[in-house]
Amino acid sequence: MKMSEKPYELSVIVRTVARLLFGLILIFGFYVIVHGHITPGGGFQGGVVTALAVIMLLAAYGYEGVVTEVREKILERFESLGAIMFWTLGLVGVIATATYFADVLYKGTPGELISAGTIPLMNIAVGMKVASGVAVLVIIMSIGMYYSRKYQKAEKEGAEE
Amino acid sequence: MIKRRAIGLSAILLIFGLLFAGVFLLHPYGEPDYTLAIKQGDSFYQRTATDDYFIERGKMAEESGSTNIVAAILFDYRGYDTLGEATVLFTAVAGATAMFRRERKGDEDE
Repeated sequence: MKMSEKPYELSVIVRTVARLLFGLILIFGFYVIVHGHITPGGGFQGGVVTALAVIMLLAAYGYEGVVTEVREKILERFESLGAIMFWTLGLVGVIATATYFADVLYKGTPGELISAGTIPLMNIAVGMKVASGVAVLVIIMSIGMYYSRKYQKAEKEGAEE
Repeated sequence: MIKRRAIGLSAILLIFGLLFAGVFLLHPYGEPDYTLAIKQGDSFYQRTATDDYFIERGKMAEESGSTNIVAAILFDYRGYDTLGEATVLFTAVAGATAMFRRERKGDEDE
């Protein structure tokens, strides 16, 4: 059997299924984040589900294929943005009621999507932070792997010459 | 050199003394502020004031407006805890990024 051009990729079946499931997993992750205040789940859980979509692509296409394509700087920005958003929402409570993380804004009817004051917004902030943070952790470790393999190969070739 | 060490040592001793003095001001271990004996069937179980507050207010979903009691506690009553967790994740990402970053354009020729 002939070796494929990209030996780090998994088979075409795995790659196709990963491509098809990518969007569905993202939608499910966003659903868990946004409905954090009315159903089980929340920012942390939904964020990890969202990050899993990226990790699945990494598993299917191999880190060599992902490292050259992905730009992790944007994800890092999103992580910091989530942290700033969470911190600012805490400060909103200070301004309104003199208590950090006080639950202000529109309370609504319990059980509706737009209710519970700042809790859904904080869920979104934490979800953004966890999703991009976990994805960046895995991507950045594969970048380290990629360069260490590259240097090992270069050293080996240098020793042989 | 010896002078700096003396300053450092005295600062450590001062902070240690203050922290140790704080231990005596702590609430006695195993004795919550007050406990409620709640009857359920034939047996009694105990609940502290804080537990009672969270369970009663969270159950009615009138104070936070969230029907998910875990979300109400994590993001409202105990927001500081979530802030700490978020900081842990941020530190992990910062550490990993510092270790395994991409090489810059000019770094290739040593």
